[in-house]
Amino acid sequence: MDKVMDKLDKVLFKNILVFFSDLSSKRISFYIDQSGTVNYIDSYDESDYVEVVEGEEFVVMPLLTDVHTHMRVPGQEEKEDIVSGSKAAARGGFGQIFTMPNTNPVVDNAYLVNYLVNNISKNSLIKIYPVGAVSKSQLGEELSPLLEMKKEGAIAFSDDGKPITTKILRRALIYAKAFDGIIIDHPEDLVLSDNGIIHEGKISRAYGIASIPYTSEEISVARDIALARETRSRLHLAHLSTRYSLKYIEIAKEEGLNVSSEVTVNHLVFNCENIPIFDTRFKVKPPFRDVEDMERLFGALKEGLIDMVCTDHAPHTLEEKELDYSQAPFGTPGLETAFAVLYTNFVMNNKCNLEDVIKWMVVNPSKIFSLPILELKDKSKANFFIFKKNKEFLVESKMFYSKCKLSPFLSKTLFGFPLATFYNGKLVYKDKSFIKSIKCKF
Amino acid sequence: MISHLLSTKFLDLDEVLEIFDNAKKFLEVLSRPTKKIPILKGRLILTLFFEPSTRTRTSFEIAGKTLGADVINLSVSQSSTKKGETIKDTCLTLNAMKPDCIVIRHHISKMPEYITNFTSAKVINAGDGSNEHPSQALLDAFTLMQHFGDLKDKRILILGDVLNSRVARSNIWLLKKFGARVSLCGPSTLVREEFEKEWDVDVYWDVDRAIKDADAIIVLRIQLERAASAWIPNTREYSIFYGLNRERLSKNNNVIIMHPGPMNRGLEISSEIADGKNSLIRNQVTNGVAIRMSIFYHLLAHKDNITLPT
Repeated sequence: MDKVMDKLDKVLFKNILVFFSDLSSKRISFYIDQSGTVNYIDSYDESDYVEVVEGEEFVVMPLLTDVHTHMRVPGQEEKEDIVSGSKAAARGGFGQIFTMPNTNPVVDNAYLVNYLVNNISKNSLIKIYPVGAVSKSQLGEELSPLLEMKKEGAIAFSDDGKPITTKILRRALIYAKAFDGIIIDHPEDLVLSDNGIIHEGKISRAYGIASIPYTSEEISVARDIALARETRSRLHLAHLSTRYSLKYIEIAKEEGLNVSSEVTVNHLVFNCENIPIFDTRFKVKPPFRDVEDMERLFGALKEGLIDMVCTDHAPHTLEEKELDYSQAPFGTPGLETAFAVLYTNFVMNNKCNLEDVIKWMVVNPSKIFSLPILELKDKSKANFFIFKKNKEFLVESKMFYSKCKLSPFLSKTLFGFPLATFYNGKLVYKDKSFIKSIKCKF
Repeated sequence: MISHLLSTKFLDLDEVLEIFDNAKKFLEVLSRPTKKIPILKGRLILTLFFEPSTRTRTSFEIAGKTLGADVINLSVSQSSTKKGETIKDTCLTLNAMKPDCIVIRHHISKMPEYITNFTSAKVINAGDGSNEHPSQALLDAFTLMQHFGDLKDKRILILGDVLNSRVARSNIWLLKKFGARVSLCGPSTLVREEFEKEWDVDVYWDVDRAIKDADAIIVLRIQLERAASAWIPNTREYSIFYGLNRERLSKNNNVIIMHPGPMNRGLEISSEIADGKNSLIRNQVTNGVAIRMSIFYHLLAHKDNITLPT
């Protein structure tokens, strides 16, 4: 990789449109020196450079943040590991991501958080923050040692994969208040979900398929907000899927409660009618719901009711996902495609602009979880990704660094895929069509 | 022409009528002393049942054997799923034994459609979860046609656990193709109000009102061992409020009664009604064999231009 950096200072980024986290944008010329530091330049002699990146279509973006992914470490490395997962994140333009604790064993103690932090510092291309389990083994009976885990580097606490039990959620919220800890809940009433595998609606009724009603999420969101009100603690709601959950979020915001929420990229583009029935790539929890839900979720994001977009990147093995629909596990990968999907479906269709995307994937997650902002800055280590507005990609399984290649976007055409990603002064991803003078393999 | 029988949704009426025409010929074969018409001689039919069944499987087996095919029955207790094999592998393995047709019953909706990916055999859905049971619907419609001649504007009431019933779904999709007016009745947990709009049927929760105008009633089995149990309080309450008995039918003496079996006598239907003059329940069973013969013929031998008895 050092050889790469040697050559990199011979690449001129000329008059490139750069977006910043303060939502401003301007054209900047810069190069990255051998130490990985960005240097803005006012005047230059192009002949000093081996290659010049220039053109109206290039855009430099701050690195994205994803507060909801599953790196599957420890114990499920056949699905994903830190190397493959961080490569996938870098390929998608992410600089910092959270990894959920529903692993085997569950990350519910300081020792395992420490193991993860070490594994990450050794193997990750980008920053990965472990989320600790709220309850021992995620069983919802005993509180995990939240403070000890925080000391080792746990960024927040969640029993993601399932909802936190009412008893533990109330205690955890009260307990975490003392150290400003954030509890992330996966809102779902398991009694109502029962063995459901798709959204309860027209399609589940037509085929007589076990289904998950709206109320499974709505009741859980209502409960969570009641507890957030009572405890005045910090609560983050994962992957909202229904329009009915939003009125509770609205109440929470009106009352000034410390409640934030996210929606996955997939839930902004898929609904139970525009996906192939019984294709396990689309089997996710919460399930894709009605068109109206999909549209209202995007509306809520624009209104600021939902704070951020996440991927809920949940890789599984081919063997697991090629089981029949009833047996295949819930979850689908999303890190590589997230930005491109948002860009293609919303920015290009003028439903939102790049500044909105920066709010949802950079500014708000950083504000809510107190994370650094990673963006282009003169005399600082390079932190950004670059994409080309008019560059079209056909999504193919060979594009994926995640061990799970079964993307719901396979064979779709998308724009906005990152061409290169720099994290902390290092080139962590580069498309082979970009800066051809630098040969490197990722 | 269909290549598998997975659902009644995608059957077109002409195809159904052809199956019915041939079924009439096969009925005649079944009334002969020597019940054999070996037009499927040398063909291998596997019945693969992941759920217990006596009547449906026997009906398919008799149908296949009457046509001269070899019929091999595999049931879940002997199958490999207990050894951890996936259904994909089970089907790939069976397919390697070169069956011409697989008749499958599975507790998961849409499983028969899924297995078509792993076999070159014709697949017949003999019941998948709460989704469909197309051969049952075909024999039901055939039985109704025998009785009424034409189903246009005939009012067919499906009574019972529609929510969990594959028989109901297959019947609804099929009967509507004939122009019949389908209504559903049962407790509101089992007959959801959404069905009315989504399926374009009439929904009744009051059984007396539902029965009043019906030309035929298809009574569904209350499967207390299955999902229905969670949606109704108990069998006594069901029987009192939704069970078919003479008193309840006294206002509509001519209504035809059908039941896919096996019946819970005294629960969803009284013995008097099940064995009464308006009951076509026995006819359904005989017709079932003829219809299944016709389905096998349609899927396996249709192109061979074999002349059937007239």
